[in-house]
Amino acid sequence: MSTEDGPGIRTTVFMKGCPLSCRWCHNPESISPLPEIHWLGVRCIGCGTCVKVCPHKALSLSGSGVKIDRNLCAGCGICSEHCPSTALELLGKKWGVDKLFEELIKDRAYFEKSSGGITVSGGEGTLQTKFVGRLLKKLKAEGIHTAVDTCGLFNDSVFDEIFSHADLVLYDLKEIDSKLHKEFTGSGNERILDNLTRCCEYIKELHGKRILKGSGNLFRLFRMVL
Amino acid sequence: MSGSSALKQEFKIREPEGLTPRIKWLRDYYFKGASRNWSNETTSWSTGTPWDAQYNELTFYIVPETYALMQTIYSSYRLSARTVDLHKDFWTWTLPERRAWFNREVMVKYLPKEILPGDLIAGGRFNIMTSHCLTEKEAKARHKLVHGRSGSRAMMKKFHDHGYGNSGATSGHLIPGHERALKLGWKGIHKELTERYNNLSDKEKKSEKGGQLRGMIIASKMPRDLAAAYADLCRTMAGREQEKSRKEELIQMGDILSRVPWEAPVTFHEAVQSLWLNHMLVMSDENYPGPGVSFGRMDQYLFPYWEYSIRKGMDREFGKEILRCFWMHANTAYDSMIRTGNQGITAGFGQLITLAGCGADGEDLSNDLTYAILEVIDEMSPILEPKPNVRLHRKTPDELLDKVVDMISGSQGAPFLLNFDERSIAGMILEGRRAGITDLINEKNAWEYAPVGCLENTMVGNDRSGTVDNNLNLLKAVELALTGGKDMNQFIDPITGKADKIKQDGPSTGDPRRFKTFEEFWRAYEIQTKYLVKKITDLYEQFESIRAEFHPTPYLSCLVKGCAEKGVDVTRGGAEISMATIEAVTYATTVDSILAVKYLVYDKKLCTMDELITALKDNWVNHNILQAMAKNKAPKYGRDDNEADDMALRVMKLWTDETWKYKTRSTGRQFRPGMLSWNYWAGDGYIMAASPDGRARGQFLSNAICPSNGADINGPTSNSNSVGKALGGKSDKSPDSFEGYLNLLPNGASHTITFNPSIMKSAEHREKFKAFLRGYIENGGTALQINILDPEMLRDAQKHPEDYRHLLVRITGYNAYFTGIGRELQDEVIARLSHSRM
Ligand code: SF4
Ligand code: SF4
Repeated sequence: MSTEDGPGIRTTVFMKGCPLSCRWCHNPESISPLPEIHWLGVRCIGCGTCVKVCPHKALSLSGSGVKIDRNLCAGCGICSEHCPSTALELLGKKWGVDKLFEELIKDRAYFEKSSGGITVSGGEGTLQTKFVGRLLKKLKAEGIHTAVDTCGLFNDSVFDEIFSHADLVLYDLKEIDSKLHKEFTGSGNERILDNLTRCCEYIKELHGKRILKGSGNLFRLFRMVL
Repeated sequence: MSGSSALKQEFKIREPEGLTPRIKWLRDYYFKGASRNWSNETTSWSTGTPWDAQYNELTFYIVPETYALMQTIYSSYRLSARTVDLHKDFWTWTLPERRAWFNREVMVKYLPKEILPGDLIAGGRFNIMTSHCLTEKEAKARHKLVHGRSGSRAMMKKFHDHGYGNSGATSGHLIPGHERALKLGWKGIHKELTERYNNLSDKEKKSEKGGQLRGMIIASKMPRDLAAAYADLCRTMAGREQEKSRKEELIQMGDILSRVPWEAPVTFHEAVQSLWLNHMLVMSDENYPGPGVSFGRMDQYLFPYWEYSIRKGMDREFGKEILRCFWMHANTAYDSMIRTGNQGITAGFGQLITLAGCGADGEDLSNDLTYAILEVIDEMSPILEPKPNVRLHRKTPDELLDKVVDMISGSQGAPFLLNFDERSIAGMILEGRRAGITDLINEKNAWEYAPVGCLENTMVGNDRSGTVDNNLNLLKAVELALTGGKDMNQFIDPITGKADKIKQDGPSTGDPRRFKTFEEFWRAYEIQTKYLVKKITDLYEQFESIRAEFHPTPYLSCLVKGCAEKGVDVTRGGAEISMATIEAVTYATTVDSILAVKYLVYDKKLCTMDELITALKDNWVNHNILQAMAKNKAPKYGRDDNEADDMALRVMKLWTDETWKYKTRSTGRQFRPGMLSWNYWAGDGYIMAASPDGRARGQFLSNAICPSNGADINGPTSNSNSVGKALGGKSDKSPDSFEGYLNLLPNGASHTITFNPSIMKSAEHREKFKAFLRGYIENGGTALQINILDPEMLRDAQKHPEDYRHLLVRITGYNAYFTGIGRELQDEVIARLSHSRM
């Protein structure tokens, strides 16, 4: 249940993989497209099971807890399966569209009462264009409000495959100045600004009018109602 | 000291603002507590016989905290009792007549009468402990039944010591027929009783029925006589009063009291005055202040009087002032323990009022009085009684929801209890069918239901459902299934140090180490559950039959439909709807434990049954890996995980089906299921053995229908969805469904969610919170208690209790002062809070 990712009460799907690496990223675990292992110290009981089971010898246990050698870790998740206290978590789980759909509509009653719905966030959801497209299509067919959170760095197919099934695009423009953008996020914003213009045009085409809803901070967030 | 004042600024503890001088004085005076000159402290009264006694411990068997004090309390009431001069024929009367006469005598002639400055309602002292009124022979017989070797006290203690739960024949916990008493006045009730009696044959007059009706006739004159005494007092006080407006008020009060509650009230002031006396005398009659003696839909049955008086020119604010005085009176119930302070959670009495809710066609019934009452509560908060429970349903108007959300957001954890009509009504209809009383509860009238005490749904004015009388630890069946029917740990009496031998208490279900499949384990659990339910019904029978024989409540019986008709006291099953509720405790701990056995031993084979049992016997010490897996890896109820919630439903169906199989033998009361855990989940956590869900002995059990502490990691919507599913979910096809809702617990189930204040931080968030409540109507349970509390503030309150004297928190339907509850319970409240997110 989320009250922060768009209108009403929402369930947010965090997709793995992001083309940017912003300095301020809230969800750094979602940048890499690969599953990643994380260790949560408060949950660890120091049993050492993980060290024993890791096939790549990527883990070690000391007084300060479990250390992960990222160079050795293959993200296989075996340690997290064996960790008795869920202190090791493999972030990034493979979902099929149908199964994820079933999970997401559980809060339907709350979406309906609040004009809420599903938000696909990330990472960058548009990277998994086909999957997100199919998911949103299925949700929309059920009358559920859909939103996509994007950094703006996506390719053309996203318009037809994703945006055509979205009620709302949360367009998170990080920085207007390309140089600064590169400094903060690791990549320039030419494509992003270009996409934004095309996004507006796409909406114009769709509705014959342009609706823009700013969140107050132009440089961080444009909200565009499709 | 200095540290505390700095922190005080950070957390503002709410204090009422803008009270009228009258109410401010009354409220401040009330909170002076033990240093007041006036109080409603309990007084004790005797027939003067050497065998006389007052305290009826059967009522308190459900309060384990009192076990150790039972004999002391019993003796102190005996020793402090004052003797009442008896009528010359007293000992020739039947017991109901003796009790009715004795109580009336004490209330009208012996107990002092006072009216506090500015008070608009009369009826001050009502906490009394009165003589059992037994003859020597009766007293001896009772003594043997209570104190004998296999007497009620010994059996009750054994049941509790061994972790089964508790049971007792408790008073209160019903909604008297207030509406009828207002419509008829006591004059009308008295007339009806007299006619009934006169129509009896001579033989019947000499029978128990005759004695019962005579007792009720005596009781029915008590409100008249008491009101007359207060009317005299008002006039005397008016004569002495210098201040003109107060003088007029007193004259008017005198006039009112000389009419009501004998005559039917006409004005709002008369109606509220009647209601107060009628209500307060129930507590006197039962010798117990306010245990769930509830008001029902007060905003509905008082509305005609409200409307009338407003039409006749009553200032709306004056109407509210009358209500505020009424509120102050309800709080004086606590004076019974004025010298001992707030005794933890037991400080909550639960004189519950019901507000709003749907009507016959699903329409919303909230009215101006609903709002006036909510305003009064809001203005006077924080204050404990009476507690409101607001009924919500699909057609609840936004305006009401706005007011409710407003009050919740400013409540600092105080009075917010919501009841959900569709799910609740589905349960009442199920009850009608399963108890075979569809003439009394059906689709046409179930909307008239109201909650009692905290959230226990019953019908109104004709229903006693003993909603707190039986509290059963379902988890005991898991323990017995793991041991083949024996206690896992030996019971050692903490006071005497004496150890009980471990015996084959439950059915022998075999050595679980030999169970090849989970289903074999389930079958053992099933057999043990059946044993538990039968055991508690047998135990209750012992208490119920003693109460039926020795403790009639003739005054209360006048207010419960069925008693006069049958000529049977309410304690003997006189109510039209006469039920006894079993409240299952430890539900989530039980479900999670079964899920853990399945997951650890059978599905994932992470340990053998032998290893699991050894770990439990060792209280998980040196089994921390297995314990961590049980806690973290095994599925849990409360996450909207269908597999886990299916198990929850399976557990629910099993124990509720068993419950419907039993009736009390002495009084014919049908058992029905519910889930309210009061504070037992805390205390019994020290008694019950370690459980397969990873809980060690000494840790708390789960509360009512709530997921285990910390298990609801998917947030409040998932938590609520699980609760709805555990109650039966939704289905249009089932014959038991109402508007698509199913509910296996007619009594309802207590569900608490604690939110951080940030959930209300902006207007937009409040809208979302409203939507959450509307979603809860669809998916959730029967009753929801919302705590809005900041964990940091509570930690500060632990450090500086003196700054937080009035801080209320809600614990299973009970509002209690945070600083007055035990440290462990405080920690539990904080723990719940700290992990909750939205
Ligand atoms: S994910 Fe696999 S490789 Fe990485 S630490 Fe865990 S077990 Fe080792
Ligand atoms: S297996 Fe889990 S609990 Fe054990 S040391 Fe590793 S991270 Fe900690």
